[in-house]
Amino acid sequence: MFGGVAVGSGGVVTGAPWTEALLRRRAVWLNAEHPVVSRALAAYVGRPKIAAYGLAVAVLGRMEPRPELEALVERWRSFT
Amino acid sequence: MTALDDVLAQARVSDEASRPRRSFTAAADRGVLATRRASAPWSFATMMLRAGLCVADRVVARVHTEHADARRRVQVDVRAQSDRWDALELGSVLEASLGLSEQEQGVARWRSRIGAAVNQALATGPSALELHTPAEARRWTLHEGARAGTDPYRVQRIATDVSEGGFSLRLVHAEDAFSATWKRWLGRDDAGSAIARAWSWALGRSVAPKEAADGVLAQRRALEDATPLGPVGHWWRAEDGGLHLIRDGVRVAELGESVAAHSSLPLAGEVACAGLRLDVDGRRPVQNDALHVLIAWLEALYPEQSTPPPDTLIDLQGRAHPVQGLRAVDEIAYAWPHQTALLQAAGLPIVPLTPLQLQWLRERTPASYVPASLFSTALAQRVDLTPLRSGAVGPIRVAFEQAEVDAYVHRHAVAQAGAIELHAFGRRVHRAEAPSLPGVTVVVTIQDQAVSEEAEHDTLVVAVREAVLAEADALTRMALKAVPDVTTRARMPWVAHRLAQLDAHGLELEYIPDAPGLRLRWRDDPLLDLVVAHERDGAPRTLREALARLRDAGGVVVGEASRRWETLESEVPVWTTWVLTERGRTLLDRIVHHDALWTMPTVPEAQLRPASLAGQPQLALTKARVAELLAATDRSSAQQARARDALLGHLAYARATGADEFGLGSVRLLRVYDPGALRPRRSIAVDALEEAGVVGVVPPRTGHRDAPGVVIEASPGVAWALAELGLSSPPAARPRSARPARVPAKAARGGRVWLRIPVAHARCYGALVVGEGPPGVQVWWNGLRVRLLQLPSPWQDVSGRVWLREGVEDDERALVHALHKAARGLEPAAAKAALLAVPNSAREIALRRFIESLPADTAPPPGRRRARVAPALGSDRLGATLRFALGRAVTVDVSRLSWTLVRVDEDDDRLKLGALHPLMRAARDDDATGSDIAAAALGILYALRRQDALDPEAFDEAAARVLAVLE
Repeated sequence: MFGGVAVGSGGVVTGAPWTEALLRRRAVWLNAEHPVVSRALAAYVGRPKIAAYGLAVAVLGRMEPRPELEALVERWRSFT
Repeated sequence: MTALDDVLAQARVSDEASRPRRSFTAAADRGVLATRRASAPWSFATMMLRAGLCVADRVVARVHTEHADARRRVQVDVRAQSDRWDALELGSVLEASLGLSEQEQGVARWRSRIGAAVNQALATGPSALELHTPAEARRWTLHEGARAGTDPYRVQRIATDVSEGGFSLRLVHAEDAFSATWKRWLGRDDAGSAIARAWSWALGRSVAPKEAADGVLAQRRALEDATPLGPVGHWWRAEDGGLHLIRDGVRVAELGESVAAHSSLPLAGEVACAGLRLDVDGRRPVQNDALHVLIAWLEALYPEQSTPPPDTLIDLQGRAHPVQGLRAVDEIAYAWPHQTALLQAAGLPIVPLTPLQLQWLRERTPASYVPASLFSTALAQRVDLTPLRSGAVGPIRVAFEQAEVDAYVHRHAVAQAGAIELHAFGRRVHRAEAPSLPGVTVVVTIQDQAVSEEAEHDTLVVAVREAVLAEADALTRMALKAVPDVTTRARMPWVAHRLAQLDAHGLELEYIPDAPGLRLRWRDDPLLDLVVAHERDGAPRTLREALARLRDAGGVVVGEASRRWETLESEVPVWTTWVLTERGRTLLDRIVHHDALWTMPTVPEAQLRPASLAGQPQLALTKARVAELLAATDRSSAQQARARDALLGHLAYARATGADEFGLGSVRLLRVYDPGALRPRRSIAVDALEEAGVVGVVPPRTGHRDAPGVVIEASPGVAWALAELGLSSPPAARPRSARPARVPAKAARGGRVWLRIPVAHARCYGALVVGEGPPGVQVWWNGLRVRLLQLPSPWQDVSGRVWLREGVEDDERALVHALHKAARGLEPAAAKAALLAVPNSAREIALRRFIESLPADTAPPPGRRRARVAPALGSDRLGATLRFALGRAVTVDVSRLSWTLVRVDEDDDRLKLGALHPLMRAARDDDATGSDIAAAALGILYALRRQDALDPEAFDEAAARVLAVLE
């Protein structure tokens, strides 16, 4: 779904709602200081897949409207 | 930076290592030093004049300078007629200067002024300074070796050489060692001429150096010459222009600049205004309401400003309020004329009034006048007390000087919070929680007084709270009277609070000598009228009567409502059987302990009474009975207590009459409270009393950690017997009237605890702690702390407490070895605890730091650590992960036949997971990996988020925690 993921320290938070249309094929910039991102980065060393999945779940949890759960589950199963 | 900022900055710098933070002496010390640093040159000479004018209406001051022996001596004499010289006392005179309060009068005022004078004189860096008064004298000497941050001057008492009529300050400066301060201030000037200049400014007239040497007359301004400024103060015309504040008859501050910022009129003269506060350096006025009131009064002095009493009030919106038509319900918001320019733009319905107009209107119209500063949005609404009055009992008027204080006691059980509200002009200007007054609302009405500053509110609240607490009994009495129903009033938060406080400490239960024995005494309390029992004929008996029975008979005979013991129950009034109510049993158990309740079946007449022992032959036992009772000491606690009382009775009777004691003197029959012991209560034999260092006898369960020493806890009968036999008496120091402070154990040991692991070893048991407390493991044995052990590196920061099993050992190494072995368990425990801690919390950071401080060979390799992480959550891994992620104890159920991943039960603390969902199947598989568990947990969290059962922040934190488990 995303065009790419980059991690930076700090950055601008616009406050605009995250919609699927807005995010499609865009690079998502993550704040490396956010607890979810820092935890995912730490977990990535040992378990990259679940760390990436966790990050995706966290991003989707912030979206409006939030996508169906089953789509997420299917992606995870195909991923593993 | 002002002097006060300086003190605060120093206080904030944590220097616990050198001094305890809560030391008030240290603060006074520093306050003295800070004000010394901030004092202006030669201000001490002016302060001398002020001190003199505190005790006399006119004084003559003189300065004398001489140079001799490479020293400069400066002497300032103040001479005056006063009959108060003998009362002048110089103890802690420097500290007395700190308040410099305007409210103090007479000698107290003199002390604060002369203290300030000495402190300011010390700022010039003299090698010695002497202060002589007719009563006593002091010398301050420079001490070279003083520690940084402490006062370099040492004070000592010397003989005075001023016999009467004044006081003298003498400074000695080493001529060749002028301090930098002295040089900067003094320049090339002579001390005499500098002081003359300071006096010129203070007195508002020119004082030549020669006049200063001969004698300068200073006198208080005559009130007859002054123009009164209403309730604010007085104003005098001055020839030299400028506006000055005068205190103690001399000028202390220039007001012109501060006043010009608000007023366009050329205000001048001298003003005495006690309500005007100066900043900490004492040079400028504080910008507050008091300054505006003063400006308004000063402007009113100008003829062009004097306006006639108005017929109609016109506000800044242009609306007219005819004065004749004003009623009591009308409110007029007013501002002073000099403030209206600012308020004009806001277009508020505010009427500009001069102080005289306001005075005139207040006297002649019933309307209330509210200052515009109060008329802000937050306070615009008037307070309606009707709901308070209908939901509460009262009010009761509490005696208080500064305001009207009314206390209301809430009727309803939910009104738990206590509050103190300050009302002015019909509005609530301040509200403070009062946890010590649960269910009580105190309304403080400040009359005809401008609303003061926040800091003053807090002071007022504290004073009001003390005043209301002093009337606590009156509040209780009012509540009990107004609500006759026993159940309803027991639910009232205030009554419930007072009932909870009602114990031996709250009633100040104690023994007082009543030759030849002791007698029980207590504090009167309205709750003593509560009914705690009924006689067999149904007559109610109160707590007060129960205490009287304890005092007179030594105990209360307690029976059951459904059972009678015809042969045992006594007809004698003091031994009649009572049937306790449920509340009565709780209360009596708490207040007098069950030892003093003689529960049927028993023979009341056979009990030990607080009366002469010789008259109680029923106490004597046979040898066989003594042996039988001694054997009973290993039975249930009730039988044990009864057996002990009977044996004590025999022992006391035998001692008093010379009968055979059957060796009971060496049997542990008495209970003592040792405030110094780890377990304070223990039993002791009568013969061992002297050896134990017993200091007195107190009622049962009233021993506490602040007791003056080891005390016997005894019922009234035993206490009397001990006193009659000369074995004990009430302790010299009376028990504290207040409840002893319950020390929160963790706080007392200092700091938060991050991790605690148990130690169980053949030599010792206890716990090791990683936390904020001081390092070192306390070793205890037999109620005493025997040593403090520092564990070797890398465990040097670990603290804790262990108890020895066998006794004190000479070989410390064995113990250290045991503790060292136990400390190895800290690392895995810390790793697990860090994992379970809230991410980025103080606990997690501290534990990570602790783990990092361990050397590599102590810490297990990273791979091993990671493998151990998931099992740390136990066998119910998914449930544990979810509970940890959500940070609360949710119940996790699994529905075997459901495809829905998660459903939230209505009570919100139960999650129902569907076992057939693919994520769940993977997570519940026997071979499930950490990733499977985490994927299911993340899926469940996402589902909860979709159902809006989690807000974004909680969702983020939960996701972060699940990821943390994976690390």
